[in-house]
Amino acid sequence: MLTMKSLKKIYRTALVETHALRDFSLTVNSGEFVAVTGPSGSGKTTFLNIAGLLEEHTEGQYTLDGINVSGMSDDQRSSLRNQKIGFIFQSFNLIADLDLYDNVDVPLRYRGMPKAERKQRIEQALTRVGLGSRLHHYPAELSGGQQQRVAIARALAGSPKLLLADEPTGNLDTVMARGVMELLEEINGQGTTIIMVTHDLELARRAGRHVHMVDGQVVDIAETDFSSLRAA
Amino acid sequence: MEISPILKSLRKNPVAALLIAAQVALTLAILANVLFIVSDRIATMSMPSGIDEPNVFTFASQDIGEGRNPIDGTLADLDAVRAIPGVIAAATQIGIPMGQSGWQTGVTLKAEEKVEGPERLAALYMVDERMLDVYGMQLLEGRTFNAEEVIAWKTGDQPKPPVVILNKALSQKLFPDGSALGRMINITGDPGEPAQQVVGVVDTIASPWPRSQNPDRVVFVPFRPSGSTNFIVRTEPGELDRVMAAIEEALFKVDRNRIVDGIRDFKTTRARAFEGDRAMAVLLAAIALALLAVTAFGIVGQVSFWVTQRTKQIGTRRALGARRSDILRYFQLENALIVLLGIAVGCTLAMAINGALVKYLSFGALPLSWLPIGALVVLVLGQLAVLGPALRATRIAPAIATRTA
Repeated sequence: MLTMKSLKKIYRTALVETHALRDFSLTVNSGEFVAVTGPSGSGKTTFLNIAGLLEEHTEGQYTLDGINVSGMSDDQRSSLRNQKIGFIFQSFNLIADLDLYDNVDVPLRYRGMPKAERKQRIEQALTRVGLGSRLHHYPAELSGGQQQRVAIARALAGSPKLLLADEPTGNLDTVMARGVMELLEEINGQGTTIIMVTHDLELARRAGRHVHMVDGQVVDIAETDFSSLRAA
Repeated sequence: MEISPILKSLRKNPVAALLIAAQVALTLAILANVLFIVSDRIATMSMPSGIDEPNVFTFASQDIGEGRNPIDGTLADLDAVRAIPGVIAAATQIGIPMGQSGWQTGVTLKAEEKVEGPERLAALYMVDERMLDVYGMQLLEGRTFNAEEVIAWKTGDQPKPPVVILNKALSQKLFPDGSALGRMINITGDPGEPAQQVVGVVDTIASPWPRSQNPDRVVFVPFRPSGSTNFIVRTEPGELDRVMAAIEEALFKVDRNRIVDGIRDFKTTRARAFEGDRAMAVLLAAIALALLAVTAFGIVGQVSFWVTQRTKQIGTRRALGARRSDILRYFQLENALIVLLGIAVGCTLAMAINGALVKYLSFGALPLSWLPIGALVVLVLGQLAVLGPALRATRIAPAIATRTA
């Protein structure tokens, strides 16, 4: 699904050069659920931004679903992002002035999808996250957990191959976090590849693979023993 | 097209959008009326005089003392002017187009008829047998005056000639159903039997007062003003400046006891006649431009604020697949919708303002065709104003979406 080889990301200012990723290599296969952890400043968000085509890497090779994304134009990256990737953000990033229906509709409109198909996908996605009866509510009328479910519906509506989740439970209490995590596991169980950046080691252990980053490099990759987790 | 979500979003936070729409409405209402008034002024300033403008000039000669017979003196003066090389024709005159001074008289067709209101008023021009050559006019019907019909006229004489010539506009006004030739009219302005016979009709010629209610109606009488009076001279093409420079010397050769002044080409006469119109047009155009600038800066300010306020949202949209062009289009479309609302209100307001101008200040009625022109101006202005902030929005990086702040 995703292959990064010897990636570097350097932020340069007039005075400072910051190496956010150093010789970073990672392969994520289709259907995997990978959790990425690491201390603040370890490069997790930079990795997520590059994986999600939100930023360009400085050096190295990045292949997404068989497509070499190096050197792509801004429009090409936008289009690829729209078609292959779904995003879940820590602070949900819903548009406060739009109701749930229109929020989920945002990425579908950018794909130029016909209205009828959009309607079907939006209703399906919101139903799937348990909010099918609240299509015309506004985000402010929902709890944090429900808002994150809307964000997940928005990410799912376009049937992405890769779901990138940036601290998806970071702003939620334990109960809501568990609900969101269970939803992500269910989505992954249906074949969608998920990469989740998190500080929460317990959540990370629930993923199929746990990648730990320090100073812009992968320092440890651990496979998870699902049998023990699921039993727990 | 994202019209539906944009409208929903605007409905959720309507105040700023409504303020912009109100500003646009007011701008359009004022702009449409201002453009109409300015265009009306420009049309007035461009009205035809009916004379050979590039080659005509006028001046005044004031006799000093009691030295000479005014009638003979004037004839000698005219001979001297006509003798200057390059002069086609010269005459003494009372009343030239756009000259802003002259005579006006009432014209009636029946003995018992009274002149009431401006309907029957016309400018009265005193001319001699050379009138066509002097003004460079076209005779449409009949004839001009004979030399024998032209009478020397001095201040105080009543203009009651046996024959008159009308211009086309007055002829059509008095005799809409047929020719004016041979018809009798009364130009004294007092009730009485019509005693002036129309012997000719000339083409368009303007009155001395272009902003009067009947700026196109003129009656010519065969009088030659004499003594201290005004002159009109028509020259060969390209000879105007030279003849103007030579006029004083030629007249001083006839008699030095005089003052020659007001030597003025027709371009200057026209400019003086429309000084007020030009000033008003410039002032109104400046007000319109200032208004447009205020509206444009208002839009720039509001959209800049929105771009800053929506930075995270724009980054999120980019992360979800919006191209830069999608962001640009979003802001342009949003602005177009707000401006269109302003236009809808502005059109109604423009007609209301015009109604007041017509009622209280005697302005002309605003033609409906001015509204789409004004609407187009504010729509384009809105799109230009939104362009800067919208382009700034397109440069917001999608990675903003993953920042928690």
